[in-house]
Amino acid sequence: MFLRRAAPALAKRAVFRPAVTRSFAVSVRRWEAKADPKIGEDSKLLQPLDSIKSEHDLLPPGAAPGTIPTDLEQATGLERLEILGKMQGVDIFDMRPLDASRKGTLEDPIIVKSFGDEQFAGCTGYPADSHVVIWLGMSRDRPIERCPECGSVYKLEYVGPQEDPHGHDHGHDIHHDSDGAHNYEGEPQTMADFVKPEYR
Amino acid sequence: MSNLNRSIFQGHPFHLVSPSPWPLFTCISLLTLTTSAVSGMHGFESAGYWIPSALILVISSMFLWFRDVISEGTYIGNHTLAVQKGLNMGVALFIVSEALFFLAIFWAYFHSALSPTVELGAQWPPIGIEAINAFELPLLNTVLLLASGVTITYSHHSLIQGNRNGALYGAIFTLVLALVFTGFQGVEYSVSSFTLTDGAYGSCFYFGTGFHGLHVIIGTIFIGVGFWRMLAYHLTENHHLGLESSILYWHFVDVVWLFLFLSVYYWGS
Amino acid sequence: MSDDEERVTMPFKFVTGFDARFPNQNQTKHCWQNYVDYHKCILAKGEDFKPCRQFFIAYRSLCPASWTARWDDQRDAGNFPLRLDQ
Repeated sequence: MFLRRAAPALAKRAVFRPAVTRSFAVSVRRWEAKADPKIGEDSKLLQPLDSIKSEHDLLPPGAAPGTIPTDLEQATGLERLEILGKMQGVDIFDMRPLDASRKGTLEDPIIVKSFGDEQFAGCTGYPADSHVVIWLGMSRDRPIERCPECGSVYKLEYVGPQEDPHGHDHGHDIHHDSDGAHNYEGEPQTMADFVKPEYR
Repeated sequence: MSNLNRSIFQGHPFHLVSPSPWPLFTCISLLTLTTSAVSGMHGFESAGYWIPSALILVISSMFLWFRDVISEGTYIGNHTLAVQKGLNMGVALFIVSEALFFLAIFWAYFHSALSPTVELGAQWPPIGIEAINAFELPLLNTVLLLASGVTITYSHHSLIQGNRNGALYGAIFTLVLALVFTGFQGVEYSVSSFTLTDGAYGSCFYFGTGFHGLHVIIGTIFIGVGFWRMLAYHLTENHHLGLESSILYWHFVDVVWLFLFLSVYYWGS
Repeated sequence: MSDDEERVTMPFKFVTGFDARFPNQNQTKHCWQNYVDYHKCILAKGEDFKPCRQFFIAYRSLCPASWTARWDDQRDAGNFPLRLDQ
């Protein structure tokens, strides 16, 4: 009896697995001709990514009344950015995991890009999953971190908005009287201080 | 796209929802509904005022919460593909939980019906119960629900193909069929020779068909919202998760009815 | 106890022998079935029909007296939950 009840529920879920791609609905032909923009065609539906500089640029042109809008005509905001990126071959959300193809060294650290002043990375060693996840916290003040388990070196590369000298409060992790990496007033000392000065 | 421009927008595709009062409001309204319903069933007179107020609170909390979700998805554009997948999974899990709820109801029914007690005369339907003929109104209701499944599928495919009229009319017909079903169930209830208090049979019958009817009403409202959003141009030919969720829910309601029809109306008579 | 030597422990045996339709601990239906069968039997065949006695012995041994008394009252009042003439 349990199987009987579970079966339709499972079957319904299975149908939905390929979430929003039109794999189960075979409606392909469009009723009213709404052509997608072709390659190279200049269309206000498909903005080049380089021309997007603000939220305002991600407002959609809109569809004609009496028709069903397409995604290009109506999607807005982050969703629109995602669609435009996909159509132009750019993955705007780089969701790849931490680079575990090698072990980072001080000469050749593994670069971790970040939009923010701080970034966490979970090291599992090389090859991946060699050890338990060790969480490392990098900041713009201390961009280099080494895993205590395997010694792999990670370096934060800040790719976020540039600082505005006239602007508002910076993150409290940014210290002005530093050399950009370390040696600011009141910085806590680590093993590196006691081993070799080059390690700072 | 330069890093500078890219960094204006958030780096990940997920939607971290801004603070909202609706979850708390919903909790309070649901708590009010359950406690007032229970106290009403235990004879407290004040429930007569509290239950309708709680119902209004619950409906308004749902309205306000989902209105926000629609704003965030359609007007702000927070529903990237990753978010859509998450929402989809959420709906599927919710429907699974509803299926398990009905599983419990069916369990209760079969517990009583498969081995009827001696007090009922060891027979099902018990003596004195005039079971409803499955091939009269219940069969018509089955046809209505199956037809509504067809019309909503037509509506969905019309939406994908860009046929606005087809999509709207399909949804209207679905709603009409659903309302007629509900009306017929109401007629069935009013002319039935037995009530909820008529022993195990009455309890099981009205428990099952009653909760099914509530789910039909909820599904009707769900599809109604989808229809309104189609009218208001919210839905695109590719991105219309709200409508797809309502269709999935409607199919679930239909399947539950088929089980009810077969096991309660047909087998149980 | 003073009369221990007169008590003998014996395994449980039904008066009517094992009935495969009711193999488990709960013998409610067994009692009910025999009661119903007896009364259907005498209704159909008359009170003097000897084979009916088998059901009578069965239900008298299986059923609690309070149950049979209640069912007798129900039959007299026309409230018995089963049609005995079908």
